[in-house]
Amino acid sequence: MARLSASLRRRWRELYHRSSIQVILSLFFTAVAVVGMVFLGLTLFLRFSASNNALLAENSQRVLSQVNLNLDARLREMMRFSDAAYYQVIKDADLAEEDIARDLELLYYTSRESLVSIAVFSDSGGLIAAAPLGTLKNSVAPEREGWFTAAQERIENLHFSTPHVQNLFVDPDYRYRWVVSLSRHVELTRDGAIESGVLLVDMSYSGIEQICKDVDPGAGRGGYLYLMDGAGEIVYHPRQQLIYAGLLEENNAAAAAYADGSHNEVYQGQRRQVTVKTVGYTGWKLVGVVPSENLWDNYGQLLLFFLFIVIFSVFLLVLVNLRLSAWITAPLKKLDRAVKELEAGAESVDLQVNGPYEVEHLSRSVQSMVSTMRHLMDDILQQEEQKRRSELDVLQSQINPHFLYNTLDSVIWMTENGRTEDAVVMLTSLARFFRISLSRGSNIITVAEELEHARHYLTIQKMRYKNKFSADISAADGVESLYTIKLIVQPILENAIYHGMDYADGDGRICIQAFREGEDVIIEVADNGPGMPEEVVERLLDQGGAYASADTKGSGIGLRNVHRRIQLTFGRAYGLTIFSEPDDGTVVRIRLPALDEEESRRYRKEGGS
Amino acid sequence: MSGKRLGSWVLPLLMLGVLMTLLLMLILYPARAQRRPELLEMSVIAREADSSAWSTARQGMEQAAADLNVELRFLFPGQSDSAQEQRQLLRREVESGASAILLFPADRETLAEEVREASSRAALVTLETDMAEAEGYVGVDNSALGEALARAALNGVSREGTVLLMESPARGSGVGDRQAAAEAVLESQVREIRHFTGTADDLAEELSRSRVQAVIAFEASSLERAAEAASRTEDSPLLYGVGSTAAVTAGLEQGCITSILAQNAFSAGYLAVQSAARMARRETAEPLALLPFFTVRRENMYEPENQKLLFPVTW
Repeated sequence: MARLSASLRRRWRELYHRSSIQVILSLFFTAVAVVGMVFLGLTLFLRFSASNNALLAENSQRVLSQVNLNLDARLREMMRFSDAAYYQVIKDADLAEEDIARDLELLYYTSRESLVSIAVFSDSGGLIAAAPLGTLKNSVAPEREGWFTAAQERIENLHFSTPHVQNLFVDPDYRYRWVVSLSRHVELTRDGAIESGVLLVDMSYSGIEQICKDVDPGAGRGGYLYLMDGAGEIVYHPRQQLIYAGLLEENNAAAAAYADGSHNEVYQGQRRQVTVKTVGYTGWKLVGVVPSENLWDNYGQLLLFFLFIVIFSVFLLVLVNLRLSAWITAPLKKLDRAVKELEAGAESVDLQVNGPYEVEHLSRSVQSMVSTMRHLMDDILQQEEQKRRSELDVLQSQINPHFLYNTLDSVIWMTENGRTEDAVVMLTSLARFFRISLSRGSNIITVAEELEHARHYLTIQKMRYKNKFSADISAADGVESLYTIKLIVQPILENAIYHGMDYADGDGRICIQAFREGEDVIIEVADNGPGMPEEVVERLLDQGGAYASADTKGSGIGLRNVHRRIQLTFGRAYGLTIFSEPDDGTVVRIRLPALDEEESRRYRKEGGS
Repeated sequence: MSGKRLGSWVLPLLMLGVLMTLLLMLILYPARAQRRPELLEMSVIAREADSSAWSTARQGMEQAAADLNVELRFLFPGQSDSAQEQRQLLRREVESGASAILLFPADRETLAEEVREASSRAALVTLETDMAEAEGYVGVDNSALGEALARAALNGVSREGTVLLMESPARGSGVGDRQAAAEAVLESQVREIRHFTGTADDLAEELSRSRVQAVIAFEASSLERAAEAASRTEDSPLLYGVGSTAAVTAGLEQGCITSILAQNAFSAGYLAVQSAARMARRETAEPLALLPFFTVRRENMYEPENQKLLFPVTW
């Protein structure tokens, strides 16, 4: 459980961090609204259901009360009829002298709509009089009928039977009628003597049916009403024949035990609301049945309707909340987008965001921060550039002093010895050497000028070294018009001369070649000097190595200066590579990007010394 | 139209429209309790030329029709027990597109092909006579009924005594089954069997001439004739039969009929319509069981249960 809880919390955190503020706002707005709506809706629905049930029960009771009134009136009418027959016709008549059949006939015709027959029987079951006039069937024994024995047993009461087929009188058309019998004990006078008898009033069954039929205790929700006697025997049921045929069953036996009022029951798997009302004198019970399925069908539809409204509202809420949260979060999102653009390196980003106070304040703060940051960055860049330039200047300035001193020394010596022409040549080369060195302050010159610079340097050095070595400079087609940073060959030549040619005896040779290799330009300086061991070669360009700190002539500082200048200018893909073995000469290869005039402008630095 | 605009406005509005339509349908669609199945037209093809013999069954049919929203069309042959006419009626009803048919077959053999054809195009249920070609049958076990009649008659007929059987023209029907089963029992118990065909007057004459100890009628109409004949005969034989018409119950009450075997005709009519309606509407239903039959005598005919059996409630 704890693990599950931790897992859920973790997932929630992940979701929270993954989601945008707009989604979170929308979700929370919607969730809160839905919970509130469902709570309110359910409360209303349950309240409605309860009050509806109560209303339904009340309605059923009201309907049953009305039916009860009508039925009671009908039964009392029959009782009054029975009273009239007894007290007005039978009781005062002496059967030995009078025929009461005529009076019964008259009485019968006053209520023939609701009556089937009226008959008076003697104590032994013999027919004394009947209306309408009829002949008792041979097969009939009234004294054995239920209505007869009931009247005989409880002489003070009137007895209502359950429905039965009236089988007393001969009918030439073989008609039979379902009736409800009202029987009572009567006192008959014959020759002044009193004897017992039974008065039978057969009520037309349709009279009861008319009162009870089409009564809907469910107030339009479907339902029916039936009538039973106190023992649960059905007197009327709208589907009586189906019950008699065994096709339908009713829960009348259980309902007989119900007290008056509304009850809920489950019968044959069906929930029903049953309302019971006892009919006054007879003890019969009116039972109103409303299947709950019909109620719940309506409730179900109501619930469905409610659910649908909830879904509909949720949909609307989501829509509205999305728009609302989008509106609320729009300034934040705009600020977020601007910051992302900044992160991506955009130069001009609009950080001016209009919105609530907090967002505007945030936007102004970010804007101020970005501005400050840019100034700081510009300062840093400027300082870096200055530092780089200073470093280059320092490196470049390390080249000249000894060479100039030695050359001028040589010119003085030549002049003193009368070698004026040689002095002129040397001074001319020196002048051209420095002209190219200066290059009007530009740090970028053509490869041709660089080679020319090397050539003048070699001229001077060959004269100083009394032609101990020879030199050869060549360039592949098209290479001379390309551009390079200046003064990169001369330090290498200086190194080659000091280390390789110093001990040569006229057979020293230096070869300079310029050519293209793909997108690069290679300037190769090869000498046939004594060469170097591998470990020396490895350390020669090492900026922090032992050779780097040495300040002696030809210690390699010139090579390192060139190497560093090239890498500072063009990147680490370029620079020097040295190939050398003892007694096998040295080759120094300069790798440069092949720059045309247009491309060289990127690296050009005007106005330098 | 940009995808963003589609997502933010058009789709939500479309969904809103769909929800509104559903809401409208929900409001307009009636609750389950208020719904009734569609009206179903059902034809009832009788065996006899009038329905007096099965008026109670007809009441049951009409009750079921009212409950199940079925419109009944009663069709009678011009002549009772005419299987040929039944065939024509059946064919006509099938061709006119009847969804369900109830049939009281007069003769299995004559009707077999037509019933098979009709069953393939409509829900066909037979009454009184079971047919293998039909989809369903509502009625009693006719052989058992015939045997029960014969066994009831055996009590009043001495060995080698004569029993007169009211011959039915519908020998190939359930009525014929009853007769065949009764004959088998009577023959096995060594009773003489005689057959009779004719009117009530002919029978009365026959009964006064011959020494018949018992008469058995296998259907209501012949039982009515027999009861009428017996009422005119002084020393009338015992009369057993099938049926519960008003004339039959009157005969029973008057003592003309010794006992009857009756089924609940109302129930049979109701179940037949219910069964055919369910079949036509493709509803699932439990298979039909044979209906029970009951022996009713004069002494017990007004017992409450027998009243319910013999006398349908009328208002």
